[in-house]
Amino acid sequence: MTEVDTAIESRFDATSGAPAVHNALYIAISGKMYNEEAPEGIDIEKESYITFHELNAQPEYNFSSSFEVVSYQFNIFAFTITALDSFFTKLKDLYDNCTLTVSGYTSVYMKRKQSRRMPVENYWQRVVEYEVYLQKT
Amino acid sequence: MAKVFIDKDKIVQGVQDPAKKFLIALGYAIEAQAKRNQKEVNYIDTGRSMASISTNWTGSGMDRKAMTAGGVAEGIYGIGQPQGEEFTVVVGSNVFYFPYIELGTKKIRAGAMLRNALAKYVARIRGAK
Repeated sequence: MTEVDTAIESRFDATSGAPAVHNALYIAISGKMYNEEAPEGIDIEKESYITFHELNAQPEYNFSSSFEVVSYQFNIFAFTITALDSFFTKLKDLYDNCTLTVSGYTSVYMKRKQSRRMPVENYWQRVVEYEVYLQKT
Repeated sequence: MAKVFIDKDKIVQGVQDPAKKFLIALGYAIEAQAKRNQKEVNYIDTGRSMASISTNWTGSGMDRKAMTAGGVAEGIYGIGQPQGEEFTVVVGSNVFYFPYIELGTKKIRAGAMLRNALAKYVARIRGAK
């Protein structure tokens, strides 16, 4: 869902205070979090970064309201386990149980479902899955 | 009512408990959906990984072996029998590279064949009245 993509990006890019400061994840990964895939110009062989994308969306209904349950996956790529774990901790701090600002919906929750760390060629990756529960406004 | 397509021919005759039969049928339905998903995302080269998506359960007697990198396929493809006393149905693959196409890497987007198949059936069961 494009609205959720935008909400996830906005939370990542958000600043606070004066002078404006980004969150810990943004600073640690140097702002390199991308929807779907890393853009041209990123040296994927040398740089750490994060990608995220939607896995699936399921509608839910009760007597009076419509909901969307949307699953999202984040892939964190790093060259050491220490760096990978550090990015993961900061990702959890930013998104676990957060309230997203989603156009046309009230964000009910963003819940981490599962994650898995795995080696790939010369780098490490952690796959983190979230469930975003939205109520239509 | 949840709609689950059951291929009765695939259910082992030895299983008598209806709850277990239902779970096994659900496993096969998820397996079939996962294979359809793999075709949809077009992550098929030789067909080896798709053929390896399979269902197994506690006490099935289908003791398959995991395949390692560079391993040669021996016997039938498929995921091993779950261990433990609790009755469990598993759907998955024993091909070593399957996690990489399911979860993605820097070079390929996550196929999410199994997870999306599971999500579809969980949603159907949630919607059961």
